[in-house]
Amino acid sequence: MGDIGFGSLGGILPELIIVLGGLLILVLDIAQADRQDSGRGYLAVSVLFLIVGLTGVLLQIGMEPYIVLSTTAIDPFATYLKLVIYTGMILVAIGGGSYMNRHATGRGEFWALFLFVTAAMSFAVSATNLLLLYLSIEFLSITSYILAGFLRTNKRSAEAGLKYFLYGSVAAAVMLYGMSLLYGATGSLDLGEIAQGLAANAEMAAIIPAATLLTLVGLGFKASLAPFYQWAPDVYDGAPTPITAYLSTASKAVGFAVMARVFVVALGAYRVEWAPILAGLSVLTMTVGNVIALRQTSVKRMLAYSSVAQAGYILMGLTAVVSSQQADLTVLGMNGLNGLLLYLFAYLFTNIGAFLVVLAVEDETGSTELDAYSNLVQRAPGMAWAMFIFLLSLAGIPLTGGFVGKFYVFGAAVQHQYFWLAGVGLVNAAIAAYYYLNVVRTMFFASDGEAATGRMAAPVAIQSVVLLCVLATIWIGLYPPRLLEWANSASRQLLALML
Amino acid sequence: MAIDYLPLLIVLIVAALFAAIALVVPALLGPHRANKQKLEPYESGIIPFSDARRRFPVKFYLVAMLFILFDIEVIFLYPWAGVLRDLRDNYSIWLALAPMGFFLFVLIVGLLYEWKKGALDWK
Repeated sequence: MGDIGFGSLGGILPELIIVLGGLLILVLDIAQADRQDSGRGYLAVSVLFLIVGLTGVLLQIGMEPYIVLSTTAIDPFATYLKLVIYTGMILVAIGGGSYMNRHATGRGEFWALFLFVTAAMSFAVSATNLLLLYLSIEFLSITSYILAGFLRTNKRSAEAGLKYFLYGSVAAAVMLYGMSLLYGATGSLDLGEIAQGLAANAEMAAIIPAATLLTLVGLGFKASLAPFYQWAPDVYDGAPTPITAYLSTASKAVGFAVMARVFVVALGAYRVEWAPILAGLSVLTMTVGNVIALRQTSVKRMLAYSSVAQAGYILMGLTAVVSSQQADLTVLGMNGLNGLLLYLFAYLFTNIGAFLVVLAVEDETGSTELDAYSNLVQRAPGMAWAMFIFLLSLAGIPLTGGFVGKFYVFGAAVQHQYFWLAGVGLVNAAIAAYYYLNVVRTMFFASDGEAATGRMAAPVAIQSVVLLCVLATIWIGLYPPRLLEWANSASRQLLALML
Repeated sequence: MAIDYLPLLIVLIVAALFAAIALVVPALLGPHRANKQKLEPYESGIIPFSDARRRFPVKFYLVAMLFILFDIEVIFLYPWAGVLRDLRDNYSIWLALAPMGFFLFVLIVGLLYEWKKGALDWK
């Protein structure tokens, strides 16, 4: 505990700034007294603070890893995920902010919560201590419940908030039980010390399966894995679309990041046992998500189920960090974990872009049904082509970010001898292509011409963020060396902590 | 190893059996002569006057929530007060005061916010 002092807080300065930004917005909101503000100022302040936070994180790239106050790691893994989180939240704030300002009451509250949830996610991905980890996940969950149900007068949104809350609190309680078993077995909350404690005390091995499975429930809930995914479609569908955009990307990334850190650092010695469980969950998740997505008539709900399916592919990455054949994991070019990290970044741009197109269409027609998309190419060619790129990326077509992500996780699965897993994944990707391309068919070749009247004018903010997402999706599709290097160093650093 | 816990298992079984017998045997053998007084819930001798499960104003929840928040604040103050002298002697008085100052600042902003937003008005 030697590092007490103000200097040690330097590492978490980006998060502190974000929290102060949230407090500033609350104070500004008090100063407004009873007048309802347009919320534009809050949007600007939030984006400003998020950009400052992102800059802070960018400055931390390449730093020697260190741990702040024995609980918060500033390492390449956390930094990479913070890049994902801050980028996602900035895109959502710019693209979806004006929609929230128009529809929400209590705008100051909304933007303050928006900044708080960002800080919560940042802490969750860098926590190396079960206590901080649980606290930040709860912080993230509670703010997310409120945000999902933020449009109080909208029945669907209120339902989403309540369902998320009920499901989430049960999952959190189960996860806490698992964590308490880990603490009871080793007498430590620190992930590294838990690994050492388990290695030193072989008698405690009996408790590992229970502790692992119970912890997995809470983290699987956050990442919307198959047996714990039932909340996801209803919440993603009912929540305001900008909130859905971050729940399905940044918040999901946090679930995977925490899962990776806990499983690799604390339970790394038992990887041969948990890898098959994760493989099974991965298969279940992608199959359930894809099969149900096939029958959806609402594009937003289809994307919600597709998001569940994508979680299955992403989980393949964490499965494929281990195999009995390959002893030294860090020498492999494809270690699964870097596939997971790349996938998360590609998926971030793709999915936020797709949900923003949904938002634009919803704004114009008041509907998220597939019918609202018929002949979109004539009403809004830009939006239609952007959606086309996003759907290609979700389906995993080459030259898009989604392909690079899939290539790395599938490649890692094959390299680690999980041939059946890669095979099931490929079949699933083929199924998924059907419903993604169905939307493309409707947008470009719809036979009924009645919806094709009038041009749709999407707000400039949405247009520019969508354009940015398209460019980023294609950029990741071209194997950007810098991003690959970041993902590689992040995954290597985490795997090096495995006992 | 596991055999050490055998007494615990026996206690559990005995407890479960005791509870089961205490419930099942009277239900089978005892007389069942119910009347109105016997079936009423016992509330410290006061005669019940309405159903307990009814709606009451949501403002009670709000006050309960605010109470919990500030109650927990006090819980955090206690350990801090315990190590305050230690921190002052070994580090500096600022290091001892600043974190709690920040914590209280955050809470006071919250208190101001709920005050201005009317959460403390009983209406």
